[in-house]
Amino acid sequence: MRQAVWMITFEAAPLVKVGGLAEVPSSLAEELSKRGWDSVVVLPAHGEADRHGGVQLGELSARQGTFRFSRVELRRVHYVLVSGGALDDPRVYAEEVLPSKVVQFAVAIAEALGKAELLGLPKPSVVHFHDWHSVIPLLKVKQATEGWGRPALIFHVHLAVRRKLGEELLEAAGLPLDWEHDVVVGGSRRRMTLGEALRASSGIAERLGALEADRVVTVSRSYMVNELSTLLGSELAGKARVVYNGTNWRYQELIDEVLAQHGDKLRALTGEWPPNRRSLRRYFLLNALGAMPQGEPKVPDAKLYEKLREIAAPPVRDDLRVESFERDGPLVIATGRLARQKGFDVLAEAIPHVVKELGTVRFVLMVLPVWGGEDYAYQLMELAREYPGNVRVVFGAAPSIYKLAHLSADVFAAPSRWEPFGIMALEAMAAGVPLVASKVGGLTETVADIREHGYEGTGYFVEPGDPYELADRIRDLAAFMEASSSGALERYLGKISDEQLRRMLEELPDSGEIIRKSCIERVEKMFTWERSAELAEAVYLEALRELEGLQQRA
Amino acid sequence: MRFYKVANWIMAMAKSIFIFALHFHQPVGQSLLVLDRIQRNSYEMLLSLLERYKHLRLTLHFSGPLLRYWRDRYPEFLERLRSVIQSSRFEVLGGTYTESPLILLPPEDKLEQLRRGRQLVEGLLGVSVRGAWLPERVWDPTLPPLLEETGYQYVLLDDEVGYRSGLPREYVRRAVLVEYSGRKAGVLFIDGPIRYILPWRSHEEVLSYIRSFDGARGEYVLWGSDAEKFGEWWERDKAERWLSLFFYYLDGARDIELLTPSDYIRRYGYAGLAYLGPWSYDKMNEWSGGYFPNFLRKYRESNNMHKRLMFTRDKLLRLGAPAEAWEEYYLAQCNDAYWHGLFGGTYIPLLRQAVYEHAIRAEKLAEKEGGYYLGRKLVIRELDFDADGSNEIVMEAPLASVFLKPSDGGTVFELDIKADGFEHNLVNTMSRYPEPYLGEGAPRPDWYRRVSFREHIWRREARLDDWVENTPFVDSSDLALASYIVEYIGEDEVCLSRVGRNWFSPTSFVRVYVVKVFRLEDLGRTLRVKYKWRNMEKVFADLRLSVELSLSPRLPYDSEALPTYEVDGAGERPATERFSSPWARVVVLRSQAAPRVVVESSKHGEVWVSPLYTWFRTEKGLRSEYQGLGIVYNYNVALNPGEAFETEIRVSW
Repeated sequence: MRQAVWMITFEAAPLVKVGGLAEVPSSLAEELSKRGWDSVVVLPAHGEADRHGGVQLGELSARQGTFRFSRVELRRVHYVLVSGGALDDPRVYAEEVLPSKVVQFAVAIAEALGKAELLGLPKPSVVHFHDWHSVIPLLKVKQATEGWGRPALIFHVHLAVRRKLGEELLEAAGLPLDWEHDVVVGGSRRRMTLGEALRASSGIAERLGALEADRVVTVSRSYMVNELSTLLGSELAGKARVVYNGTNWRYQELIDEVLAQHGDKLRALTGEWPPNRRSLRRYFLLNALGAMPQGEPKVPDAKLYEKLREIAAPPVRDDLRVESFERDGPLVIATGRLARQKGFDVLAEAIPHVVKELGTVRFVLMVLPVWGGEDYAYQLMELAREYPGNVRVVFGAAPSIYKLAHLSADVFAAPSRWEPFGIMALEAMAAGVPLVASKVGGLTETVADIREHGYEGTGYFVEPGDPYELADRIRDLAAFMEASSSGALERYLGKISDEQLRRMLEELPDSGEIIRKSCIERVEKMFTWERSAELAEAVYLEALRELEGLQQRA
Repeated sequence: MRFYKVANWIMAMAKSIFIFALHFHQPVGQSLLVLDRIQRNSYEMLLSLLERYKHLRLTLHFSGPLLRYWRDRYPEFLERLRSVIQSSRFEVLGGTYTESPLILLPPEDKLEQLRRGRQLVEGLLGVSVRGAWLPERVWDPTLPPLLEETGYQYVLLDDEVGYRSGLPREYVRRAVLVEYSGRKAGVLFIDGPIRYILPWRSHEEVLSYIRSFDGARGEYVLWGSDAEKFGEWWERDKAERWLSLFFYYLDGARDIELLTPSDYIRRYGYAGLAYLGPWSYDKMNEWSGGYFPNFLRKYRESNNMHKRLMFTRDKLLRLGAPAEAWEEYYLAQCNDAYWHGLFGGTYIPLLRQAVYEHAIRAEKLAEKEGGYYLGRKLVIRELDFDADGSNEIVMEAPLASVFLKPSDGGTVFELDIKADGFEHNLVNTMSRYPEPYLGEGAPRPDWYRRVSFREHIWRREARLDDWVENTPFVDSSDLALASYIVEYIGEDEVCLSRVGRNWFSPTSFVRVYVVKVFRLEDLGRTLRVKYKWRNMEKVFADLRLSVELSLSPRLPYDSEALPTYEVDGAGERPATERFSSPWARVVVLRSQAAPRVVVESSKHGEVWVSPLYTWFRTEKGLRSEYQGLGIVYNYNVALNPGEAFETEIRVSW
């Protein structure tokens, strides 16, 4: 019989996407389907149910409200959107509604699990919960399935925010503090009340999730060792397994997609077909960057959008579109949410140093503004205004140029202060772009330092938070890539301070191309979703075996 | 008893030792008018005296550039000199080939300068030399092996060098040996006090000073100084009378023995070993701040020339330059243009002009030999030309080279014209420095280097005089001194850019994005600078944008004629005149010694032209000197938010 897995998440691409998390449940589910699993992704509709259409599965009522379930099928994955009550609020993570959303989502899931057949959904042998929002859902599922051969519960930590869960939230979800149940700690089963579990985990969502789950999944070994062990304590860390994220970006597909998207204009500008990467870059910098369609870049939050428009000034237009550059040059890109974690402020501090020594460099930062990151937005806007010949900042999602930017880039900057995984590194490498990345979290596993790996390297590590080192390495790598692709070794060798990079160029003038190839190969060999699903499945099977053992012993 | 009498007699008979060394020098690039005057007033007179007193043990040094002048311009004089020397008891010193400041040069150049210096003197005067005269008597502690290799046994230095190096007085009155890398050279010290009395005081005073030295202990008095003191600094008749009488007294003095340095060393040997610091005479130590290379730090123009030398040198080496190129290169090393003390030095435009002239010629010969432009019209390089830690950009074409300094307002600090016979740097200007001797009430020093393509945004009320005279705060922007970004380097163009701020008040400013694209066209005959000024604010801005050029058309060596200029064909004006036109476009510069230079703006504007003057000290008092012409284009422009103003300024010749 086919086994089924339910992914419980607050966002899932392509239906609801705020950050990197959205890619994981969908992609895992898709690959697991290919491996023979019946995959269901359950998420709040966030007011978007109607937009996606889909099949109405039915309504279920509980004390906390009435919830509607609709199903959309995409690439052999069932997406179940839950609406009703707070779940209809379009602000995905807005603090005002978040507690209600979490509670109602939890209740709805527990109801749905009990009435899966009624809703026409496969009964899961594994339920896979993503991030702290799904900790209360995990408890509800555990409560609802107690005693009748419950599924294996997997708790997946993408980013630990150490959210405190109050008793009132649990009670609101119908989880009494005196509810006594099994937890597995250090490989053995113990009975404890929910109140005891809450105290044992100091009320921290991720700790409670880890205590209650059968397995904890993290996105990188380094994140597990450096972050989660401290948070969870060694006993719970014993349950932790690593499932790397993957990317579905494939170099050739990216090229095909971008050429299909921009082909005519590209042909008109460059006159060559297929265009080489330098032509792509020229087209991107001199044309496409300044020709985003109306509605791009998109900032979903209207208030934030208005705020940004107020501070916009050349080269950022009033509608947040940006002007093209007037001249071509080695391109450094960076992407991500405009939050402290991502270190854009460090990059902003580094950029003037790079520009001073390598004035031909161009930076395109594609950032997703979020509340709390306003200061960073001001800082980047100032930077763009001070360096109109060198810096563009795209505030908001810009799908028309996102992949083109990657294929045009010579260097990707990932200055994160911390990074559980860092999917952007995979996207960069998949597009053949070497990185200058902070030596933190998942990046330490995805990126291979050229100093250590030579021609098989895919970038450089820098200490997080050090703009000077960041600037040096960006300048080095950008000059290296430009020297290699332009053949103007003499002009750029003097800009490279790293002895090894200089030696590589002198040895093989097209070293940059070799590094690009190493980037692409590293992703295709190690960081596909196929590979992630393989790892996830191994965790599921291990958890199921353990669960079976425990139940037999009981 | 008898023994003491003999000793007293010997003591009484011990003569005071005097060494008299005359140093003859004229710099490369000297005005021929000045040269002829000195020739008439000083050298002719001195030669006559030398002819009369050729039996005296005098010591003479003739600098390489002066010997070359004599060879080319006064061959009969040179012949006379040669024959006097050959029949005389004089000792002739060698030295460097072009009187170059060795401490500023790479070791290979030092060696070559010393070697060629010896060959030149020996070849032209038919003597063999043992000692070296060091330019400005600046000691370089690394010289001993080089002196030894080129066959020099000793050098003359100032007693100040000995004292500063901690030598006791008795050592400084004797010859010493200095050592470096296991190689030795002898040093004789020039006496400081006697330089201040000879020839300015009475013979009696000078002679009695000489007599105060105890020859029995091997002490000597060495006078070593400029021959031009006789007849140029001091008027000919008086100088001639003084010196003639002095020689007469020396000739007859039974208690003073005139020796040459070689005589002295042969007779008394060395007092011992000494280690000397890189010093010179007292005044030079003061002017240079204790170390001769400091002049390169004090005057950017000096540093510019010096680094131009180093740049040329690299190129000569790289291109396997022919001997003629090296010859030109060494001629660019004459010391006078690189420093300033009592003489005009670096403030003299002709001297600087000559440095560039020879460096450019050297470079041209090397370029030709090395096929430098084979298959390309232009060579663009980015390098730290002036060794300040920031890169400069050099655009080279067969007929011109442009040197850009992004970190100093993105300016052109050198524009070399390479046309045959007209080699010169069109931006060979000089800025006004706050020389301490100028005192209060002196014209305001320049707050930026007077070079070309510097941007300002003037206040409405600013006038031509405010610009030239450096009225404070008339430039309301920060562009003039801004560090520009090298935004793009293409096959034939360089783009510099910068976001500057124009301050309307201490609290309100607008950002102005300035982009300037430099193109060198027509083999270098045209420099085109395309400007774009953009208002980066969301408000309207009314601005007085301005581009400043400082140019110095080549000056003639044989006349004092200054260039003239003409604005929009409205009559030719002398370079000494200031002129302001409310609406013009073209400025034409003419000089007797250079091709016509046309400066042209694609758009009309208010045009200011003014001579650039500096004030400095010379041996004859304070002097103001023309250093070039300043040209300013002012554009009154109202810019809407995001709007740009474009213009192009072209310099062609």
